[in-house]
Amino acid sequence: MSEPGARNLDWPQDAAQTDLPNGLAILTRERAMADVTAISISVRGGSRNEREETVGAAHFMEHMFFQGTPRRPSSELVFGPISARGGWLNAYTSFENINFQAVVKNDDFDLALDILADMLLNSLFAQEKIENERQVVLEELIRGKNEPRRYAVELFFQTVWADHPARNLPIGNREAITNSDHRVLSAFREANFLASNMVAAVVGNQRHVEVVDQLASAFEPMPTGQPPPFPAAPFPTPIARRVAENTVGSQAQIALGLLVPGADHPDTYALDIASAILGEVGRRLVTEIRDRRGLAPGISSSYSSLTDVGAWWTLVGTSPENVDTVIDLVLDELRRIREQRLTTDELADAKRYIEGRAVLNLQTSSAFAQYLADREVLGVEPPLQEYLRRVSRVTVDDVARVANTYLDVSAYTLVVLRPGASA
Amino acid sequence: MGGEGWQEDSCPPAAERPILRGLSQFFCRREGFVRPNTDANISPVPGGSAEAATGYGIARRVLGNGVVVLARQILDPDIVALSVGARAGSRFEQEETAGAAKFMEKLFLQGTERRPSADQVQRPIAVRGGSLWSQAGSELVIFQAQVRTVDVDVMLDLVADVLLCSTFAQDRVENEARVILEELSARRANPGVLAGDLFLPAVFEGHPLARSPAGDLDNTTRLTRQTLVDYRDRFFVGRNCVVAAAGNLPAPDALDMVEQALTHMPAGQAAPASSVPPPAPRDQRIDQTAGTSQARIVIGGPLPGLGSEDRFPLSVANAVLGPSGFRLFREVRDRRGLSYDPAPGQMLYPDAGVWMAAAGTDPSTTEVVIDLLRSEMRRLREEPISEQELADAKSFLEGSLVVGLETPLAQSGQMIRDEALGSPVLSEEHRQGIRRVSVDDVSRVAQTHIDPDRATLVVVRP
Repeated sequence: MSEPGARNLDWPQDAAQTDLPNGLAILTRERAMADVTAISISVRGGSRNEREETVGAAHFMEHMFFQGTPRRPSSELVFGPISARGGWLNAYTSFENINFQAVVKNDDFDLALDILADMLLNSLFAQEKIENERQVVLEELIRGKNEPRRYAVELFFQTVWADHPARNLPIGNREAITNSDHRVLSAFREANFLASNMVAAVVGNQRHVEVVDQLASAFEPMPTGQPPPFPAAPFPTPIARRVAENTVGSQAQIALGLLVPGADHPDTYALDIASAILGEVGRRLVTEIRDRRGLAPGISSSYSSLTDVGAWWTLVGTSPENVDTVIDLVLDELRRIREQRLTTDELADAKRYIEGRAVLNLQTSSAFAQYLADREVLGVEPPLQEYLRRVSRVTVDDVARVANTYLDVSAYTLVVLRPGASA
Repeated sequence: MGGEGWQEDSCPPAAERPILRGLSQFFCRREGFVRPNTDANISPVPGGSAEAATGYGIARRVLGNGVVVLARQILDPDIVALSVGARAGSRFEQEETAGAAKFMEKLFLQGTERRPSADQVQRPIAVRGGSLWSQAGSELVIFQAQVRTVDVDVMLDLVADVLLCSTFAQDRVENEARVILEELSARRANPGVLAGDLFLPAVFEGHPLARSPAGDLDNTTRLTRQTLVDYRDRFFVGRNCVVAAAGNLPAPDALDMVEQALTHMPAGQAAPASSVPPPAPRDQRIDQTAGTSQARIVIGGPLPGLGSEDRFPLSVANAVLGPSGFRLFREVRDRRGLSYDPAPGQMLYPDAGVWMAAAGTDPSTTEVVIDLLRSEMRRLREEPISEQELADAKSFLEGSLVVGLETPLAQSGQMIRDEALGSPVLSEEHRQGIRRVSVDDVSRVAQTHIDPDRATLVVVRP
């Protein structure tokens, strides 16, 4: 396994790369026939770096980058020029990184870069804007809590990762958001927003050499320095955990899953296969729960990986009287993948699916740029071809071993939201 | 990243899946327009591409059985997307067939003679990393699929099999009725979705568009296999279907392939034209309890349909309220911090449409936000927009033609809506129509059609 930040140049590359003297890594993928250019800038650092009492500050801080610079003192002047060309500007804050993205017509690349660089270098974090944006962030928080499916998964992650810094959700909580003042937001910015801790990816009809020149000039003033490490976090011991809460409406939500390794672990590729068999391509859960029994309109399931920890999970909404049946069906499928080896056809199907999915899901300039920037800034996942090569080497035995090691039906995390009066 | 505000939570599978794997569905993006998952032409999400702006390059062929086939070559990405639309949406339902459009959407994917189970239908495309799904709208029932170009034969064979040879087996009818009821239950539990589900039937009361494409709670279990088969045989016929292929295939080849795949579709008869005038605006308020922490607000009213010349200034008016940095975001979010996701929207069908503004807010500030949304609509009526706003709105709409429909899938979807609903967005007429709009036009259509004091207001709160 590579160390975070290390790069193995023997891998076949899916992007051209140049590192600037200040440490900013630039990746480009030229798409001569594409109409759209995406710039994605990823900064290492997110909610897992945060202290309990100010969790959510990273995300709150991310909002402040859209609230004005000396040249563009208001949010409308930051967004307006890109909106007025039919493009979009956005950002998201995750557990381990923050990603800023501008997506525009090829011809508007210069404008998009100018605005993104201005935001990242010169945002003012003005006090009165902080107070206003705090209200917006609180609105975002209650919006998430208001949707039962989303809330169930949030509870699941907090619970399954309870013994790991990943228990900090990016959105934070009301008290911590209220606690986060200018000093807290600026401290996160100063510690993490360093050129040496950032990756910029550009995908579209743009030339690498020209992109590098423009970014070198635009980001020359970016501070640099020693990037902060993620807090030390040993892999937790999986234990059974149960959370039961009430919700409104007439449907129950079940989020059931397990603690599994993250992207830095050699077993991560076999887990991709196992997850695809239970979910998208083997269709085992949807066949049993939806197609055979009509218990739910759809079954979400996913393997979500951070660098050093992950979770496999499924989310099912069903009538309250079906909750126990659905849980049993999910557990049956977990037992089945532990106890019965995949056929070689099933394995081949899963591999083919993962390869096809990569092409389809990376079809837009914005998806590819985001993928490149986030992957490189976290530094544990190989380039696409190498990733697919590792998936292709997974054997039936690997899947059986990984299922038996991690998909332990005695140590699962279960969140159930049931309709009830006291939600 | 779907738009928010209110919409279905059953977006196409591709949008829900991680790129490789990941968590991105959980984070914290700045939100954009109301983009309900719908078959309407939604402003401002027009489509096209850079070339589209100067010559749309869409090949068209009418097959012997009446199917209209469209094709457009896109060289990158190396993908082909297929969209099929049948004018069989919920507006064509009668009392006894209420919920049939939603049932169609499900049953077509539940088994064919050659592929007797849902699993056998989905597997050929799933193992290739592609996807196939369906969606019931008010006007159209839509099937969409996408695969790598190398797998295009598999996709066409599968889609044709689904359209021509689905069995609608009795046990599947019973199973899918349960699934639809669970889906309706999930919609009621999501306050944003519920707000939309209350809003549209209220605006369109008395009009065929009042019938919800989400399914019918009471009638779903009463629909018999025979009723559903009859509905299928009436509407899923050549003269009532449009197919569009977009992707890395020469357009003539794509037309040939679709023709070969669908040549055995019966011709049948086209559904009657959609030509019921929009209802009058009503001053009404619907309050409903749902959710735990936030109020969801939707306000709006009827508009003339796609046949009206007013659609161009209305699009511009919507764009003025529009994306991040424009009026609604600025006033509600960036100046006052009252909502995370204020958003305007318009949905236009052939004979009628709807304008709306939606926002979520803390329950304690519900009335303040309603007042703000109303006052922004009033301002649009009472004060001329600035020349700069007009120019920005137009260039936003034009740029969205490129950015908004970047993918083959999005383009094929726009192509079938353009063909089936009329008044195409991917056309020189549309482009010129937007360019001609003046400040006075925007004031006039706002005064004529957008009256916040005679509007339908829906509030869903804890």
